Amino acid sequence: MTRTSQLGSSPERSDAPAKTSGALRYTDDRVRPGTLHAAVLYSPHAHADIGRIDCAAALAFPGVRGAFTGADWPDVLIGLYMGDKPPLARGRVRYYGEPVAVVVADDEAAALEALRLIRADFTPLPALGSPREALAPGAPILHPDLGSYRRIAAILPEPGSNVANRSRIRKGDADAALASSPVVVEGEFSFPPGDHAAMEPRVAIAEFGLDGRLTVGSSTQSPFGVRTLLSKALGLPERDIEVIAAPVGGGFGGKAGIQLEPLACLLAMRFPGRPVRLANTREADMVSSPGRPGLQSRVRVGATREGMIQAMDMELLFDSGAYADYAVNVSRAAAVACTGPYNVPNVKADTLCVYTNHPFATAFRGFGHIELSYATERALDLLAARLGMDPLELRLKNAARPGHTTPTGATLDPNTGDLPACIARVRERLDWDAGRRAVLPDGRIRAKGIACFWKAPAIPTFTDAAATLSFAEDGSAVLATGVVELGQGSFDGLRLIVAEALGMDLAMVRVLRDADTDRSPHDWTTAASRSLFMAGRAALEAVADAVAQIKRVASAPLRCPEEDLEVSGGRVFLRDDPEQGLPLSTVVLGYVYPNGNAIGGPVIGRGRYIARGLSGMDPDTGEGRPGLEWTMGAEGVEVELDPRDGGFRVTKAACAMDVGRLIHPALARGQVVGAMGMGIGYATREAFVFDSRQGVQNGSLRDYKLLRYGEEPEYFADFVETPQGDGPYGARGLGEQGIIGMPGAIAQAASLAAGVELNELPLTPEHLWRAMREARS
Amino acid sequence: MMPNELRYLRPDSAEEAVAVWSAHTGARYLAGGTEIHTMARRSASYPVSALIDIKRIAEASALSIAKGRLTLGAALPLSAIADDGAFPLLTATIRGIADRTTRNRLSIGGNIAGMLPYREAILPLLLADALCLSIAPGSGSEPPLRREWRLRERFDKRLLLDPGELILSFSLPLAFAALPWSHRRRTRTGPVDYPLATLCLVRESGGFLLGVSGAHPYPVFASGADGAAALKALGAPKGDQRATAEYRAALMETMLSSALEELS
Ligand SMILES: Cc1cc2nc3c(=O)[nH]c(=O)nc-3n(C[C@H](O)[C@H](O)[C@H](O)COP(=O)(O)OP(=O)(O)OC[C@H]3O[C@@H](n4cnc5c(N)ncnc54)[C@H](O)[C@@H]3O)c2cc1C
Repeated sequence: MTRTSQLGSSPERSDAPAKTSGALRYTDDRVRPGTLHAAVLYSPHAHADIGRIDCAAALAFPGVRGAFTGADWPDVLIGLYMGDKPPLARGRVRYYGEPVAVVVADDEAAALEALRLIRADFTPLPALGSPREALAPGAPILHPDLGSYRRIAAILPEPGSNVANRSRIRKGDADAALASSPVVVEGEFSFPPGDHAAMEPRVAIAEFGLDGRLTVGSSTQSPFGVRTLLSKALGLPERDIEVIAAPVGGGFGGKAGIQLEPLACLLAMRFPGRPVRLANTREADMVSSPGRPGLQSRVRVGATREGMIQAMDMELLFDSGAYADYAVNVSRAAAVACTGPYNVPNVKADTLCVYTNHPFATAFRGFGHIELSYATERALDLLAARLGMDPLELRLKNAARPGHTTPTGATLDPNTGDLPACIARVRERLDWDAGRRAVLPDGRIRAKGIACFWKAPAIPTFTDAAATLSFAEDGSAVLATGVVELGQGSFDGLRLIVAEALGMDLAMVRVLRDADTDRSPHDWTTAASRSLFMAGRAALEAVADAVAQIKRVASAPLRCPEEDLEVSGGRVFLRDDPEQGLPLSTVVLGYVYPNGNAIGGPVIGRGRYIARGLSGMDPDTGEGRPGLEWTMGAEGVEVELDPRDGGFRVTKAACAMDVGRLIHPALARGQVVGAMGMGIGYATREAFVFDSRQGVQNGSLRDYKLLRYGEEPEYFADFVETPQGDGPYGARGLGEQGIIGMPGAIAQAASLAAGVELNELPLTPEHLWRAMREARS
Repeated sequence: MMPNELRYLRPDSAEEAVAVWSAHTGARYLAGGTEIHTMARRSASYPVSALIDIKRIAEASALSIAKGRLTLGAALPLSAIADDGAFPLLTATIRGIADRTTRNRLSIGGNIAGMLPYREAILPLLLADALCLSIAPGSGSEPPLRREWRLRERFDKRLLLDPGELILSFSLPLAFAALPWSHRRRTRTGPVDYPLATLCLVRESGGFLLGVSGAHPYPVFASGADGAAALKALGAPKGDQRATAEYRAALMETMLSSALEELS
């Protein structure tokens, strides 16, 4: 009995009806009667000493149960890698939008009304508006206690400065190689911080049960991570904390760390037996909760006259804002991949996570790779211009291949994707060889740009996943994992993998949705584009385990050795005589003989996975193997620029990525196209605008604009398939990668169109107009 | 967030609406409600105690052509006016505002009487020298007062309405709708955003009528024998976080020259 593979087909998403009709229940749709509501007072200053906070009038307001300030929890510090953030500001505010006080009331309206009655005095302080300002001698030190914060060993803060982490790469001898390179270029490239703008604002609903256990429903990508971090911050053991993650309305990294949960829990502990809901408005979600880092960078590249890169020397300064959160590890991940997907024998890189008085930064789709890619790709553009070489040819020439080493000295193994093949697809799609720049009859200029990317998950060396597979009376299978659904569709990919491995109809396989730390198997975090890879591996092991159990039970009634049996098509049968067999429904809960005797019992398959062969980095040289599997690709755009007023549009966007094996093409395309769209927004408009005191001027969707339907270019998403030997069916991660090369490719195309190198984002029409005007004068 | 205590009233006639307004301190007329909702959510200094829904008032929701004039009810959603298309410049201007889904709610009266600096829909009406029919509470025990007036006469940076005055409709000569016109609109980035500049240009026998929104803190209009004179009469634009004054000035010039080209 042979079955055709279901891999590579695109069945409809199992959650499509509930999502498109609005019936799906997210965390904030699960508010129980009797819930208390919290409302937060946010700092109107980016940097200020807090004077008196008077909550008396708020406390007297009808329906109010309590009002709290930082002084209520004088010792609590929250953090991911480093505990540097109080749940409510203490003594000083460090960014515009920092929570200063909170009111808890019977309903949200009362909480908000009472909030208006709080009187808080501030004495403004000079605010740091960029990493370079924060590193300048004499700059105010935002975290005088940096040296005493609890942290993990991989993060290297520099107490007495505003450096929250410095990662170093020293590969070969970059100084010598640059000194002897016949061609050397150098540039500085930057952009401001911004927001994820996920559709669902963050929410946490916590209850401190009368049994002393804490239960938290949260819009989180990381229920297990939140459990661990809550345990650290609150001093409760993990066994007394349950974190439940309903499907999440978009995360993009912004919900991968710990956000509203600690404050919600601290409040809940003041009101045992009553849930407390802490929910962001859109504006709070943008400014008060973390966004993505900004960047200032300097890159030098040395090459031969033929364009072979000899060395790179770079400094990437991540604007982490007021707190370190995930940004410390973002800066570390950027070091791991700092050169981009090119063979660079000599590398010297310092990637720093720097405190400023901006809203704080966390993980963002791409995790440091957009930043490093934008910086290195812009530098390669300068090199191509200096050499008079086609930027595509320059990239092709230097493309990383198996046998080359990464900046940390790890060798790219034979599982490495085929970057030249990706470049070739983009070249075709954009008709690259027909010319990169043309003036249209109406005066507008059309231009093309290309960039390459790579990314390995930036994960702890012990990152894990687990899965269990159980069965129902009808023989159908249910997979449980700790993966969170955040729109990425991992469940449908996992479902295909399980159906394929069981040789079963897709309709007979379900994947459980809510992740719940009390019930779900352990899973590190739904991030780093790792879920299909790792949970997929665990699922395959769970299937193998279940199949072995099924065969063991069936071998008795079928009177044959287990190894003669096969499971497929919803049956277990003799391989050489398929007519002899049993439907799974008669085996998976135990087999019952005609006389009533029963054997077996419920089949439960068990699967696990843990990252293979990862090691930390040497603090002085970066040497090590921190990256699991490298996904590579190329991206290109075509843009149109109106030189009269800077009017600018991306008209075509192409991505070719080596994904190892395409499991669910429609989902893969959705991820890649979504990522490209997000990258266009990133490059052309999405960024905070600050006033002179570092207050956010565009902290609402009225003013902070995203790419909308109707502005989308024509998209091309192509996939190259060089199997990942250890991936499930050869697949590797693809969720984030499509965004990484976009800012670089767009900046290259815009620079070519405008006739001036554009080294800052976002590329708004006014920015382009100004750059062209300055170039002319 | 809307306050807990809020009255919702839905009168059937203009007279009743005005009476209800007089009877409730802190009442507001409610058309599409988009501005009322966003302002109440955002700001403590935007009190609302009662909302008087004007969408059931027949004369505020009618669109008619009679005796050579086009009459537009103030409570009509922008999309209904744009879809009708009797005044092409107004249609083009309206289609620049927000997106289709939002335009299904935004009313023309709300757009013009709102607090935002843009109020783009007023430009074609100002250029057309439209008339406005309104009703206001009478003083003391006097009955409500209806009156018709030239929009231009009570427009100075904003519409100067009396307390409790409700706009019922706008009207303009159809002949004006037939004049050659041009519309240009530019934003900071994507199309769904407030304008850096929206420009409405009409050519009439004596020269040009020019209206601009977005470049100044309020809509402006002027006439001139040629386009450049009209532009000059509007005065210098202002800068804000969306764009500098300089860029707005440059945009207005390119927009005007391309609009003039279209009309030549
Ligand atoms: C997503 C979005 C995008 C937008 N983009 C633009 C844009 O690009 N350009 C632009 O110009 N505007 C834009 N606006 C602003 C919008 O036009 C105004 O907010 C307008 O006030 C909304 O109309 P409404 O019917 O919803 O008003 P409502 O919220 O119902 O009312 C607004 C105000 O006008 C008063 N009012 C309403 N009708 C009358 C009447 N007949 N007589 C007297 N007073 C009245 C109300 O009492 C209230 O004070 C946008 C709004 C949104 C929500």
